[in-house]
Amino acid sequence: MTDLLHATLIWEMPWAGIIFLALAIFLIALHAWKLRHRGLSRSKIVLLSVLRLLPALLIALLLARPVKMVSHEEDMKRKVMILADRSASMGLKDGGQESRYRKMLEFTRSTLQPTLREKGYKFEWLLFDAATKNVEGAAVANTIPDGDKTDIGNAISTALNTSRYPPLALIALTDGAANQTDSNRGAVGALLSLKIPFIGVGFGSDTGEQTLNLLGVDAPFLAPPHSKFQISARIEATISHPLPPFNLILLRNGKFKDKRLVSGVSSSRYWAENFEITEDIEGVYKYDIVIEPPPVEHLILIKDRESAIVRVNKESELRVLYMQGALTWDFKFMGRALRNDPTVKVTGLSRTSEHSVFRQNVEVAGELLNGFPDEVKDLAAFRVVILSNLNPSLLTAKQQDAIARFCSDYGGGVLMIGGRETFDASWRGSKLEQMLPVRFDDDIGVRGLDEPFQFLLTPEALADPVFEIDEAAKNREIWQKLPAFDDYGRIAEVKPGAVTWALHSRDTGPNGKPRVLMAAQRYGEGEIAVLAVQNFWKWRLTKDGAVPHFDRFWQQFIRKLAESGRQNIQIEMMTHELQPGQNITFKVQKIADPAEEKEKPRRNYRLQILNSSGKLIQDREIELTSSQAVESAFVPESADSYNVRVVDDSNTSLASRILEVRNANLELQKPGRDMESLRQWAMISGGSAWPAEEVIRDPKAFAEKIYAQIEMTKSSRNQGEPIGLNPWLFLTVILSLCAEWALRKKWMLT
Amino acid sequence: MGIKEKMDAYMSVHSIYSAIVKIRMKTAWLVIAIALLSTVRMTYAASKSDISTFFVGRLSFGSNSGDDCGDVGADMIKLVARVSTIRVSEKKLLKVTDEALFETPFVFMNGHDDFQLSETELERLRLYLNKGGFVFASGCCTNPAFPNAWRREFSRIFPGDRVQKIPYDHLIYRSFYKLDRLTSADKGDIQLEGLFHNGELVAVVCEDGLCCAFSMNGSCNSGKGVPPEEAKKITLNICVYALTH
Repeated sequence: MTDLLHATLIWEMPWAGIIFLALAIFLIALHAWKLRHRGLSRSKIVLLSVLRLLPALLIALLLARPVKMVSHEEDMKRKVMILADRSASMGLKDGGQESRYRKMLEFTRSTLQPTLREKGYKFEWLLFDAATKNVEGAAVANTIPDGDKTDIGNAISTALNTSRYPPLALIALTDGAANQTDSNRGAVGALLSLKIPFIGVGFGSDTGEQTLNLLGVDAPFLAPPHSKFQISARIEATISHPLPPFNLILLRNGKFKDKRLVSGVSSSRYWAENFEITEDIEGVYKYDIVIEPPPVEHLILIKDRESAIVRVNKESELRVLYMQGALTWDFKFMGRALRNDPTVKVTGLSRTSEHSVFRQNVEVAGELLNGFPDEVKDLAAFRVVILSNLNPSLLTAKQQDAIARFCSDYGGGVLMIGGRETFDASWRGSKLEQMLPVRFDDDIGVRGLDEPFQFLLTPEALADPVFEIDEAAKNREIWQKLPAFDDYGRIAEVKPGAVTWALHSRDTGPNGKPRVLMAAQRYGEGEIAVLAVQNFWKWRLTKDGAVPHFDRFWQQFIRKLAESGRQNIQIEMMTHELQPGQNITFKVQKIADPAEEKEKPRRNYRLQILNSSGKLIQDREIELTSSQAVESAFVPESADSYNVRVVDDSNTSLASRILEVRNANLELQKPGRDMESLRQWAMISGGSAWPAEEVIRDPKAFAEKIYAQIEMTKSSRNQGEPIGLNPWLFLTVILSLCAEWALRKKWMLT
Repeated sequence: MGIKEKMDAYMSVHSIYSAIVKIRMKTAWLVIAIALLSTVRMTYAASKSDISTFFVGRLSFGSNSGDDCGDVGADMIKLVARVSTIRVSEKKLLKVTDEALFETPFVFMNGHDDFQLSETELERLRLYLNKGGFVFASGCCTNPAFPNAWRREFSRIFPGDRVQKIPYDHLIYRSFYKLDRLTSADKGDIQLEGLFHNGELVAVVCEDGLCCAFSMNGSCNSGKGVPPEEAKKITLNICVYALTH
């Protein structure tokens, strides 16, 4: 049902009617003059002339082609839809200062919006990448172009369906580089049926931006001296023309160490380049990999340098990072205990107030200047991280992720210490809780009602060398004589696979068993332990306690956590491509350790590959010796983070390596502008395609053209209705002519 | 049933209802009262045993009752609590010979007068400091008798370790606030003094009425001693240092 606003009568060929009528009147008058000469009466002449004039008049009217024009109310509501491309390719700068998106915004402000407003058109914004959404103009200005795909067809379909009234036109501001085409067929059909012009304005250069990016450097956290290890650079190239060979330089502590030539790159890709390193002298080494860019014009080097730190030693020295949420005496007394071991260095980070952190024993001036690190690489210098009296709320998600990766990927040890105020329901759902060997109780009890309790070691702990703090005969008795403690975190249960070290002497958990006070478990390559006792320092200060026992326990326990990630098996990557569908090969080899070989001549090993959800992709038994490497391969089906690991009989991980497999960035595979795509859309819809620079150069021509196209859309919809062609008119003409003929017959004029 | 009978019946029902309501109201008040009392008890319990990590003991030593300038200990706790996340507990009076000394890693002692420690007290302090305990001392009202006695007595605890001035480059001057110098209104620059054992600073004293300055704004120091603001800062530094070393 159309909503009729008003109708107007127009004459499409008025001149034809006028000429015909003039001619007809002349002929009728001439004929009347002739009849008068023949002596016919005036009344008869008038009657015949009227009967002739009437059909002539009607025919003249028809010849002038009268049309009734109807305009619709909905036309007033129709808008121009502006489709702004927010995909990652719009972030390219094409060698200039501003990104395509920034140029698009500037074009919108200076040219497009003024033009549309001047012509009285309303307009609406749609932002699109793989998806399309309706937004306010302000949102367009504040958007960062980071969409991972571009689907112009979907944007067109959405634009045509988003409003009750079809748009007057679609103006697409894009680089035209679409990498999703599933919606194109539907969009073409919709454009054709609705006759909406597509006006494309293309941003960017036709050749596009060529980039080379060093995404990261992977290296083992710890390596023994005289053993080979691998340093890998992950590189991404987005190119439209082949790149010539270029060099990768490896620097060790700022000085040249090695160089390798990367063969030419023919198309956009994501891959790894490996350096084989062996260090003979113990120490901490900083390895930098630097790209020496090939001499290609307009090649943009996004990041040309990345680094990794490798600690080469025999575990003779280890650093501990002790982070405490509030100042506690545990830090002081544990620090004293560890200070007696000259190979352990404790660095402290203490929150002394809401906004200040007190740093202690940092190795270099700027270390940990901003508090607890956000990046796992900044934790690389440490072997153990202790979190004391710290709720997850005091750490950001990034910091929690860094701790998790420190433990799982770097093989670091993590210890969490706290009592009831620390371990509560606030841990639920946090990354730290996922790591823990235990789950905390929601019910933390009533303050002030706790009775003093004893810290009882489990048989597993008593059998573990870590808890041997004196001669075997005295050891059990010493642990039994620990002072009473009075504050503890409520552990509800121990997770499967975790080991319980200590229990509460009086309290029971929800399962009716003694409440757990200390537990530990493997987490990835590292180990994590929790001590849910507040004021454990009392053991050292108590009058009857022996300081050496307290000190020895902590030295042994921290060393155990530190050594949890030690790997005697190496996993080396062999192939370069790290993309789905590519065959990835690697080599597994045991590091020679004569002592271990003597004690355990043979062990069974399994090589496993897991995806990020923990699903086993590959699992095979392998025989490992230090003299022969085992080669293996797999083809990743999708982009994911894959864990290649070697486990022993008890499924304990002995070595692992994370492989980040991903698609080369779709958006950057064709970095050039695609005007041809815009032209095709324009052609099928009766629209037009414009390179942005052309519009900017001559905005008037652009304004006139889009005005004409929009108005044509309007007029094609507002079709006129021819009037006059109906049976009554023809009947009138025929009857008049018949009557005239009959009268002439009767008056014997024929 | 006539109107009178209806009224009587209504009144009897109403009176029973009123009685029930009254009984229920009394019960309700009783329940509320019990609940309030429980709350008071719970609040008391909570404040008493809130998880404390900064235990402060006021030390009674020699002939000193450990209560000179009575509010000093409480004021130090407030000071620490106000500017940091340290969880403090209420102060407790301790004798050097008390077993509770070995549950209190930080003790504060002050006084006006000379004092002498017994052999037992010296033995206890030796054990306490060896295990990691920390003593913070302050002379009251800039009276020199107490600091002089402290220097003498604390130099007896560990043979060979004498109380000495703590140089300005020591971490104790910047463990919380960065203090380049410590001044006295009448003496100019002064320094903290301390007892070092096995390389650890285990006891600290300030001779110039530090406790009066941070607790009573130096009202009893009569224009002498450490200025109050400086006193609060160095006191907090000492507490934080003791907690972290």
